[in-house]
Amino acid sequence: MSNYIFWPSELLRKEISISDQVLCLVAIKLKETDYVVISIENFSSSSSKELLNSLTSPYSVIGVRDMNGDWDISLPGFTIVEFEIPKFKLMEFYSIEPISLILSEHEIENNKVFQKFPNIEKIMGYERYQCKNYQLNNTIDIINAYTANRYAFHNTYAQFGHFEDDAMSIIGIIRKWYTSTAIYRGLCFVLYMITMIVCSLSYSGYIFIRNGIPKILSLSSTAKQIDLRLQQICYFPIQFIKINQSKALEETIPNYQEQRSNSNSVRAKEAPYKYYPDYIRFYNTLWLIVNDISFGLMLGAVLKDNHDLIINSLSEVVTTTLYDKMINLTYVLANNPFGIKLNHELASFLSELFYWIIEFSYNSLIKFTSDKEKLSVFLKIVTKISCVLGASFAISLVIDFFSLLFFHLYLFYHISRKLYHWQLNTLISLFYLFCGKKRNVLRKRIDYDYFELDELLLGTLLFIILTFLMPTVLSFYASFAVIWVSTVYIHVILNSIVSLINHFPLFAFLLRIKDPKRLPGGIILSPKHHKNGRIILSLENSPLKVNNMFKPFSYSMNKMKEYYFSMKTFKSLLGGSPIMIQMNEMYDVLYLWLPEEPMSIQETMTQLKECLPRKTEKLE
Amino acid sequence: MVQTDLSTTFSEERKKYTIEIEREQNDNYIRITIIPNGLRKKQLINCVLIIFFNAWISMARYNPYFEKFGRYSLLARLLILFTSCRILKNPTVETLMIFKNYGIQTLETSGYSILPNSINKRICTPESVFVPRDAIVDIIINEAFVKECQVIFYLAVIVKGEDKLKLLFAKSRPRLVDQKVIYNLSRNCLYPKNGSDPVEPTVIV
Repeated sequence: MSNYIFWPSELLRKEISISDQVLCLVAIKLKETDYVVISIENFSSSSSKELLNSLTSPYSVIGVRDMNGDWDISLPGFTIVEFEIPKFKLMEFYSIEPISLILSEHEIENNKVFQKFPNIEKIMGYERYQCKNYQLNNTIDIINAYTANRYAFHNTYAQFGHFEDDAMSIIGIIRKWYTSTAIYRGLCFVLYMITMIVCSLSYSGYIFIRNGIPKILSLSSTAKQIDLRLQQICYFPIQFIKINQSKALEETIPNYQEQRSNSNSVRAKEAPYKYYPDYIRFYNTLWLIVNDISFGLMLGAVLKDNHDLIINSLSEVVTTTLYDKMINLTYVLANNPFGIKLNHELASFLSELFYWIIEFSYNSLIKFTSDKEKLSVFLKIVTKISCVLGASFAISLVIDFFSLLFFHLYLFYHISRKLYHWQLNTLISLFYLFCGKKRNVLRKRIDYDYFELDELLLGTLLFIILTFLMPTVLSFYASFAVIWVSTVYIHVILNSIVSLINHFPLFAFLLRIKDPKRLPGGIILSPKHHKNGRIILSLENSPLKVNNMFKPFSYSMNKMKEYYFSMKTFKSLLGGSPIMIQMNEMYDVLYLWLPEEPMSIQETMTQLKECLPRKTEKLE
Repeated sequence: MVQTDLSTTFSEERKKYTIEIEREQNDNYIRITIIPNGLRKKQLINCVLIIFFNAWISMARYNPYFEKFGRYSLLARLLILFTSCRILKNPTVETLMIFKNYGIQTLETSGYSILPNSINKRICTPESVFVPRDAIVDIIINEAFVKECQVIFYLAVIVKGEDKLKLLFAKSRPRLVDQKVIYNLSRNCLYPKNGSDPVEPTVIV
């Protein structure tokens, strides 16, 4: 049998300092936990002995120390674990699993993918997989609420020791008075109305975007940005309510006398540290929004200073790259690029087609947008928006503007890609015909087939014709694919910057630097040798690893690598499959800090109303 | 073998490493450390290598590569110094701690060669992972093929909720004899015969 005695280090030090009295150890033990030392009391006088012997569960005396300093502990086979008491007011706590900043409703998804491996199904049927042993978890729950537990002990047995109560500071008294005045209640009510109006506006905006204009979220990044902001605004009141609830829970004292029969009394109540991730998420979002606006101001100032320079260079760049260079390219491709002789008719037909598209887009779009006055208007709008709403909106507006301009490049790529793809497929099946095989669509494999002579002849002829036409199509496809891929890279890079601004875990990161005990990533039990040869373990907090904080980002980067930089991309380029901009799959993983669907306005209203201070309110 | 009232330490030297087992009196806590042999020698070699390499890099005044950097040549040299320090580290000392009823914890320490041990202890925190008892499905000895034809045995822990085995003593690979000892010790400690565990621990010899 193993017994662990959790002894706070401040009581260990206290024990060492008092060396001339007979002391006893009072510990708390609930049904499924280990012993946690609550206090060290004087054991000399008979009255205290009587009282100590009358301690009811969950408290008990587990050991006595005599005058020499030798402890006589009545448990068999014990080990002492030392720990620092987590400062409740500063929101420190211990946790075996790393604190998860992702909303818990999203975490369940991982398990479904996980269960598909057959070996894992076998392991899950093994008996030991199903058994649960929560002794350490429950003990850590007691440790996390240590100050409250100690307060409860001193409340129940007021004869023991003196407990240094947090004396009400002056600020505390003023605050208490202020929260009971009518002005405070009126102010709260006004704030409540304002919040409700803003919330309902954003909720209706959210519904409008999601249901009213379908598919715009996967096309335009400005719409995505607006949608994200609205979702965040809708979620703010709920986060605020949760944080308030946790603050109320902090002040309740566990009362064990009434709950003696209930074994899991500690777990039944909601532990306040379940709400700490909400606190972190709330302030992180707020901070990111403020950061966004300050970046926007900086960006706006830069844009305003270099307004003329930007306009001039931008109009030049737009006309040259999108118009002149494209015309050059098509001309070069049509007339023997690099000295390779291409098929003249096909090349001139294709280049005529592309000329026509370029002229059309020039007359409709490019001439309009590269006009300096209009560009200047656009730039002024972008500057104003970036100063007011933040840099992320400005960058997404720029992204959308360029996607619109690059539309004809998109057309070129798709036309040449389709042509190339058809030609490649036809070539491959004609080659199989030449070899005497055929593709069996039903069985999805290549089978031998018997062809008539005229089929074979015709097939071979077509094969030769297509082979000679191939270099033309290939050269057009190669050049336009390269142009389109570079456009996609620019798009992806700008989008990544926007998502960095929107979702960077700044608060968590700084918190990790400032006070690692608030972001537990697990525990460490390290052994220390005590003076009389006994080994004492010490429970320490292992702070969250930086990799864990940036997990959604690394996931998104992996997806990006897979779509755009991997062998798969190269193969799809060779085979003529399309390379598209996947906005949703790459960036949706970053939305895991928000709930799937925002709460409806009615529910938010009722919940917020409960948080309003009432006229005669007793602190329980 | 060292014994105090309350704990026994047992250490044995093999060809490539020394294994040290420290057990507390009631078997509440067992610590198994594997230290590679020749630690001091390797540390010294690494240190000498680093010093010579960096001296050669910075002393070669007319080194054409560094003139490219211009003002940043000092920065480049410092960068090379730091990367070489980081690459040439001490061989890792791995520790496994087993707590009865609570779980296991693995610890890996590997300090920088160029710094003395006392400073290493303070600034290089060991990487430690604590696996609670209800997350451990089992501790196993598995066999694997290495270099296409050689079979080795390794110790691993099956953790609930993970799709990969957690390897114990992956860098300093103990021999099968020691692995059996560790296997028996850890299973007896974690899942004692009269405990609440549904599966009886089997002891292999």
